[in-house]
Amino acid sequence: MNFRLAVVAAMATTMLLVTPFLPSVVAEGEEGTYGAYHELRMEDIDEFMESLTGMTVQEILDMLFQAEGYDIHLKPAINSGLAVKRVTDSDKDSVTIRDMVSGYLEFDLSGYASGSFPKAGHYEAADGEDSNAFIERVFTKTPDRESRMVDVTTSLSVYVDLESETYIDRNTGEYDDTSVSMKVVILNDGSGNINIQTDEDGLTMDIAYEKYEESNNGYVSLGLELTSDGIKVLSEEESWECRPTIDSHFAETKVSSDFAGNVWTLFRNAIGLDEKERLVLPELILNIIRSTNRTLDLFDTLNSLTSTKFTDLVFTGDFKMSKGQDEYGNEYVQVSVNSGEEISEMKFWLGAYTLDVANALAMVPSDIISEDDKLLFGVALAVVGLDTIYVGDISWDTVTEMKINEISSKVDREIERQEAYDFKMPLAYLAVAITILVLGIGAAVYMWRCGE
Amino acid sequence: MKMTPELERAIGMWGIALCVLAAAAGWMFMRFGQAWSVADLPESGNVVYIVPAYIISEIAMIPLGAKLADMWGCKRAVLPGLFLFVVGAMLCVVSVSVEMLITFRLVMGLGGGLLLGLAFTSVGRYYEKGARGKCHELMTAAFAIGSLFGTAVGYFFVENFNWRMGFVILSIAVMIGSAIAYRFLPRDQGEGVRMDPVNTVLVVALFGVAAFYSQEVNVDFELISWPSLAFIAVIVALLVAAMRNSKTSPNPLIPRGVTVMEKKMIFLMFAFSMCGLGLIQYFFKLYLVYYEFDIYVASMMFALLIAGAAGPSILGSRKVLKTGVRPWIVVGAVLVTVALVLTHFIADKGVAQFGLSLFMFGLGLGCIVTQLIISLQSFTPREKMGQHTGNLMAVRMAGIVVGNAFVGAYMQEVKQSGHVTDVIDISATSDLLGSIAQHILGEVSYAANALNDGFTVSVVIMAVVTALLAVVAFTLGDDDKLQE
Repeated sequence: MNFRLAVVAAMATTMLLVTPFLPSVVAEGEEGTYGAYHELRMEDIDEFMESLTGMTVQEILDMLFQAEGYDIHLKPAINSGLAVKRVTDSDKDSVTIRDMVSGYLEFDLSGYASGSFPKAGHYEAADGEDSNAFIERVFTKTPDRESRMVDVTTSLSVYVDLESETYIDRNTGEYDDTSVSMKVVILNDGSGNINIQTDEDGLTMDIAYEKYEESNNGYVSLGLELTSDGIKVLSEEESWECRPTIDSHFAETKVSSDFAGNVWTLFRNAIGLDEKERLVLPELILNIIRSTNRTLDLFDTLNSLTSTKFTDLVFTGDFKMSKGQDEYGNEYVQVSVNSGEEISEMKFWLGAYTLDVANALAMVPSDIISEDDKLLFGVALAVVGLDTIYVGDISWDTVTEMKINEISSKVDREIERQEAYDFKMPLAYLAVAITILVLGIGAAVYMWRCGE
Repeated sequence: MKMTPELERAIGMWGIALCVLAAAAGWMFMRFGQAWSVADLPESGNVVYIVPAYIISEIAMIPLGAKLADMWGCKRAVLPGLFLFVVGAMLCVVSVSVEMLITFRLVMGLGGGLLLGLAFTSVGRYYEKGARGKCHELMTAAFAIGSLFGTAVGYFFVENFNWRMGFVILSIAVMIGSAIAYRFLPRDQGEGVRMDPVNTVLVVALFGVAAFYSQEVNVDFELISWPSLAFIAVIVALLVAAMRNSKTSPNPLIPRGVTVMEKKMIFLMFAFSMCGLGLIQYFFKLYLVYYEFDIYVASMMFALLIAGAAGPSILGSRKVLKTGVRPWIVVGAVLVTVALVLTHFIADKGVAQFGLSLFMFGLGLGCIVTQLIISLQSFTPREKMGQHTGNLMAVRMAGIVVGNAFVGAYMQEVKQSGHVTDVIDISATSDLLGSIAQHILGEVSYAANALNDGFTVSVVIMAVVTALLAVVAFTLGDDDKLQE
């Protein structure tokens, strides 16, 4: 599994989950517990595919991946869950909304193939040959071949936990502040006895028949505090305009070394740096993060190197607000922001709501997810029924609440396991320290006893 | 081949100089290693104390190190320094938490302070007054190289090996230096006097609290605040108590009955260290942030400072007792003043101009520091060499950290007062991510410019102070001149 793709997938999942919740609203005086969950397992997909095609996913894969001279068997396994919960409390002066989203995706793929494989070595595409034709030629038309049986297993697990708490001032009808904490963990493992390395364009290939194991763990923990002034969400009018200021304070920006490179690439793209241009300070920070296998807070490190705090970003904009109602009668406030030539629209729900994942996906900047990838993710979401999720009132539904807690606990457990501190003292330094300690103390005592 | 006693003594002093190099480097070599060690150790809110822990205990122990040289003789006095430095450093290597690292850096600093105090005293005890120049030059050079290049060396270790490696190398350097010193230095039985525990505690506490205050003032509280005033009150109380106790103590750590000239010399050492050496860290920081964030290149700029200091220091350490210290200090003060004014006008114009101002700065400081030590030791009796030298060296180190704290407080004020929050208008931008990224870059750029603005004003203030110090230096008199 390509780790870069895994990171993009995680970022996409995160953006999908974050966007609809910032900020969120309930109607005046309304109080309650809302929630929904969605689980997807391999059996569900098999059932769905069988009803559609009469074949299980494994049978479809076996059919799709048969190639000339090979006998290929792939066995996929998927286990995923998404839980959404909202608890609202209100008193005379304020409304407090606590939102929680927990999601996980565990994907395993194991497979084996037997047949006449190209011999180990370096292969290059011919002039004008595209990557697909190149791969096909190497595996089916290379004259220098040998009979082999290869096996590969790969797994990708993504865990996302998001919590937000929003306060609304009843007296002014405005958002007061929102705090958001989000954690993402990506675990990517692979092993097998065939190692194929290709370049970025897929036009060169190195094939080696050797046992390999690889493991990449990614971790991100963000803490964001938003203080807003002027976002009116409780109003008697049907539509109104406002120009708020939103002060966003990054309380935590921890990333693991695996993620740091992707964050930096995103940053470089955002400011339009070409490949050769360097920015020394951020690259030094990147160097620090990559030199360890732990996580580091980006802003704290920047602060320690320059003695300057860079934590607050202040936003403003022309917001157009209007009231609306969905097909279930749930009220929302629709916010339109004219951002350059594009108009972004968000629905802030009043009480129960429909989590419009497809719309959230469309709002993710194309710097993070390309339009092609969005289309792909959109189709996948629609197929598994996750493009819209209705988050209804579960005040009396203990079964749903229990299920939500179950998914949430599973995500929490995995994140805690990743966060557990695993310190390993380098044994060489321990041995050196003991030796020098003994020599140093010994020398000092010996010289003291010898006197002048 | 049999070595002459002079050669053996010189080799022994090279051993001491190696210890000085390691002890001086011990402070700043963790500066950028801090980020790596934090990444390796469990999270802690106390990371900001990793670097200061060493300097606090080092400054506190300098007078005691010098006094031990008087009491036990220089050879024996090396041993507690060696013991504490190596034990502290090796416990830092095996630290599994930030708090452990801070504690053991403190222990290591105790050893570093003892070694520094002893080193400059040993020159006075082993050499006659007319022959101390070269050896003091060696000690000053070792101290300057260790202090100025410690950051780059520490960065090199963490980048290429592990942050623990720096502790290993420094320990080995101290062990080799101590062994050479112990093997080659001539016999020195010391004066055989007993230590006054009350006076020792008071003096160590005085310098320790002063150093602690200088490291805390911009971190946990502001310069003008109640905690800051409380600290100053404690320091003044300790100073009064230590001085009163020293008057009646049979064997005090700091000298009593000090001449007017020595008082002026102590004041000048403190003031020049505060105005001159206290700025050096900010030269480094300014170069890093304002020009290019390359730690190696920034450190290499200090080679210009050392090159500037070398000439007058080598000449001055040989001639100062013939001319008296006064002309050196006056000329040095004028040169530092010129260098600071130069810095104000040209240092931000380009790297070459920045280097030139550093060179001029070194030229001025090269006329002052070693000459003051040699001059003070010239009228100090051998049996009280540690008492006077330790006091002068501790005051020097305190001056550096206090100057640093004042400049830091001012810089912070400049940064905060001039900061205008940049507001990103979502309606006016079609590239939100790009705007956020540009905002972060803008903040880095603002920090660099604010640092430059604060720095240039600081050097002007310090230029005025050093010009006044030239006047004070002019009143020193010429009692330290060797009689023909």
